[in-house]
Amino acid sequence: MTTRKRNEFLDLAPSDDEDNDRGYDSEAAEESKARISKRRRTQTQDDESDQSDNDSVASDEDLKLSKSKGKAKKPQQRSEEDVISDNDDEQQETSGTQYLDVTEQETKSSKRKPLDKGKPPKKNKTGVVYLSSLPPYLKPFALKSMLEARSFGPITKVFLSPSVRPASAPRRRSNKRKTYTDGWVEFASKKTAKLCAETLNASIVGGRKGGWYHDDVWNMKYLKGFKWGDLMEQVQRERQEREAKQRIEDARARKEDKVFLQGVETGKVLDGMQRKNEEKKKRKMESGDAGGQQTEELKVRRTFKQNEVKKGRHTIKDGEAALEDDTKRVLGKIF
Amino acid sequence: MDYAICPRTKLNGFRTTLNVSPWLVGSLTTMAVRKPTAIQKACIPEILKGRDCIGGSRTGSGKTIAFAVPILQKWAQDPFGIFAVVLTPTRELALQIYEQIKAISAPQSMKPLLITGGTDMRSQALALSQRPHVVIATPGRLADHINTSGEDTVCGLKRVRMVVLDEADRLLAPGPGSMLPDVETCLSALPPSSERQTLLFTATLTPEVRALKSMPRAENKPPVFVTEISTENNGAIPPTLKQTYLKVPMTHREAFLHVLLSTERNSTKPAIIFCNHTKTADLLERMLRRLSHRVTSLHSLLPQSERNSNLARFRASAARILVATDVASRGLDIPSVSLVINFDVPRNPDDYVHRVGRTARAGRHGEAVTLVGQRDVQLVLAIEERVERRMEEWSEEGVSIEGRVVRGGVLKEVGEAKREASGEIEEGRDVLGRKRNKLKKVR
Repeated sequence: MTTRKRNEFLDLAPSDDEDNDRGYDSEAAEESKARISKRRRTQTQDDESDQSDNDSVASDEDLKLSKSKGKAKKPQQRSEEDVISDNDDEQQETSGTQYLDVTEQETKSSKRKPLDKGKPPKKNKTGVVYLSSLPPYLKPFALKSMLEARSFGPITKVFLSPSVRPASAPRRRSNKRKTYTDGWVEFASKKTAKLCAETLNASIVGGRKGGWYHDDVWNMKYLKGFKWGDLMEQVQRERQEREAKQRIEDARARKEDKVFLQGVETGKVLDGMQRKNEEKKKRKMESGDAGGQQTEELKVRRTFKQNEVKKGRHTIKDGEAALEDDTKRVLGKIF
Repeated sequence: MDYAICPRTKLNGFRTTLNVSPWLVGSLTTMAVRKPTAIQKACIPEILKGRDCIGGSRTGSGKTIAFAVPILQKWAQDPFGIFAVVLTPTRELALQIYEQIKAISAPQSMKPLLITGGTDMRSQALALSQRPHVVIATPGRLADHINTSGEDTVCGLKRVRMVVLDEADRLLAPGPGSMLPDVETCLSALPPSSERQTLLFTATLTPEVRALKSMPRAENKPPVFVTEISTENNGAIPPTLKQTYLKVPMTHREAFLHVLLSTERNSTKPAIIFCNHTKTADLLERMLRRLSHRVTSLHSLLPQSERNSNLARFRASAARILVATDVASRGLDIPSVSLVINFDVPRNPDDYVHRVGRTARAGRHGEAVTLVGQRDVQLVLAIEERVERRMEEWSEEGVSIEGRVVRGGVLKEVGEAKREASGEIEEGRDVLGRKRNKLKKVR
């Protein structure tokens, strides 16, 4: 099993902080666009697997590779809404995040299996491999192509968790490239997943001599009995809890605001009344009616329980405060 | 720092009246400290004569220099091992004094050492065993060194000539959160009182400090020198400080604060916001950050490194607003602060004195706004009695805080920010939205 739950930041809301580099990054967006177009070119060559990936403008750290085998040509440009409406009924529904399920065709069909009883249920044969460390600056697509180049395909999903700069580390301005701390790769079949982890684990990346990644070491483990859905489970649960809580809080806040606004209104009305009364009184006085002097003082009515004052210690006179013994002992040491 | 205590005068008061050595006068002049303040005039000659001293003086009147100058002068005559120990209640204050002493002693090759909690103990112990000239410490960590770091490390303390208790009222206060046991440990490692000179400085006089005045003295020592400049008549509040209050409902204090911080006059002022609890300070910082104020914080939930860097950010005006608890209420000298806001009314009137003392320092002007809720009326009355001055109602021409709160969706905006902030805290994320992986501090 995974030792670390590093996928929590999947649901990280974009914050306005300057340190947080999760905002819209035009460079990254362009880069990712370029990548998509490049990938499309390769797709035309290999026609048995058609892949569509999400428009990773919002964030390009999650990447989704969708593979629908055996189906007739699908329109490649599927909008996000499409996908979500497709797997509405599924556990995998990620409610509009960057993360899109890829195998929606398979899962959907597996869900619907009980309805058409003719075919035997198709088993989910995917296997997940965990990479506890990654070569610096290795991108998800590069990882995928590297693994497939070593004939461990087909790969259905890749997720790499981006590294977070610790608060103490110096801020880098020029180097925009991302590093990833660890990641998960889903293979279409368990067998290749196992084989991949077994053969590549603890061996160097290799490839072209003198290449950037050549001397880095793979760090892989096949996760037994682990499905991609398990990865997403915790994230979803947390999000649901948060949303429920927020709804309750919202309602309460709205009620409070309403009461406050009403209070402000009544305050205004009362102020107006008081002002009018005073004016009336003044006019009366001016008209020479000096006899009826009612000096009504406004009575302050305090119905609120008051916070208790902790007496300032300067007010305590020397005699009043009997200093405790240990205090006296310490004081005796000073002079 | 205590730069520019006074407008420029050609003659340096330190040389003419106080008999301070030329090198010290020179370094004070480079720090733009030219004319001594009342407490410096009173204390420095007496301390140089070797008398023990209790210095009471209102906030921002230059107490630090009043003890730093005589220490440095006497040390320069006989520079050795650990010459002086300065005890202060908070780490940030210790750091500030350390930097001030370093700045004043720049012409000499003096080694001051900072001993505070929240940092590595081993390197501190090594530095302590090498006999620095002046040790600036918080009592807890110094006591820890005395108890655990071994005789070799702390034997230098046996020869200390001068001991300073800065903010003595806090160091000697009994009750919960008392520092007395640690102070006692520290004093036990120092030489007996007859062989050292002891200096106490405070802005508020507590029964403990008053009791010290009447303590019996050793035969061979002159009586304690006591100054209480302007503590008696004017309260401990500087006369240049404008004290105001703002009536707010308890449920919507945050919205009022937000509007108050963004009025035309206040929107550029560097400000400190004081809360009674660390949790409030944490929440408030995150909330104000979401409302696009340039904000940072200082409270004990933060790790020490962050505390230091946040304070440095605020000092450098990289952040306009500092949200703090009472840990920042004493001694911190940030001249640019012109607004202090009490988000919570302090329960103890003495705390109020120290809090508002962060502004209007060294003759500058400053404003203190206290947000008063329904339940705080008694507290405000107690404070007014303590400082012997009435607070005015806060006002700025053309600004009705209540009107602005009600108008234009401020309530909704602030409420949303607050909810997001509290959600972030519950999920255990830090201010920048990153997941905190570290274990919680155990107390």
